[in-house]
Amino acid sequence: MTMENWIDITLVILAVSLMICFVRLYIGPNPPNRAVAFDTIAIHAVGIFALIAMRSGAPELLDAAIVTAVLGFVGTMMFARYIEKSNVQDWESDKE
Amino acid sequence: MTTVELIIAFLILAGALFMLIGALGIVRFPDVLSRMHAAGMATTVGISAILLGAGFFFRDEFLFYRMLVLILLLFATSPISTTALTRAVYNNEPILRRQLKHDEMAVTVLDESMLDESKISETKVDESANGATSANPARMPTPT
Repeated sequence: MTMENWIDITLVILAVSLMICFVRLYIGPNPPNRAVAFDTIAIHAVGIFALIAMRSGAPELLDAAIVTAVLGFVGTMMFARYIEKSNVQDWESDKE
Repeated sequence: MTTVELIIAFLILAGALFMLIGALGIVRFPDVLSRMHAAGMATTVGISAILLGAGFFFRDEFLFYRMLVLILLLFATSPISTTALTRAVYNNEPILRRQLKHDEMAVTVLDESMLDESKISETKVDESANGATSANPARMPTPT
């Protein structure tokens, strides 16, 4: 198999993994679960950017991957600070 | 395929499999803290393997160094965001706090008026870890 086939297989695996993360984002019973899912989705976006840059031979897309990594970190920190300061305790907890 | 391409294919496949396992752990694990444990594997090992493969793929030295800097950035920021989320969960979810077997932050949660010099011992710490913190509304002083 050529290199393009391997990159395609990896992209398919990452797409399936991204959909599994969106399942947690949808069913997550409270905000911290959704924050964890959002963090992982941002990381998946970085990986998919890197793979698309390899697939299309465009190394300029790796700059977009760097920006996406920083923005994902900032978003997760903002979400964590919001949860910490908001002091809402009436959300639905995890089941046993 | 040359040897370099085999190495790149192995790196990106291993990274994608790590991220798939991390995503499965996020869906399957029972509570928030263990889900963060599963997410930590995807956000460090998986993405760094993929980015290392991307750095090897373009035979450009500057681009490879940039990917190394991005890996260092991810390794620095992932524990920070996970720690902030864990502290938010700890302050806001007393049910989960009671399930912890070992609670290191419970000592700092204690109110200063409850501190009796004669009673500070191991049993005091164990009591506070087993749910006395829910009766005590004193919270961690949040850093500003």
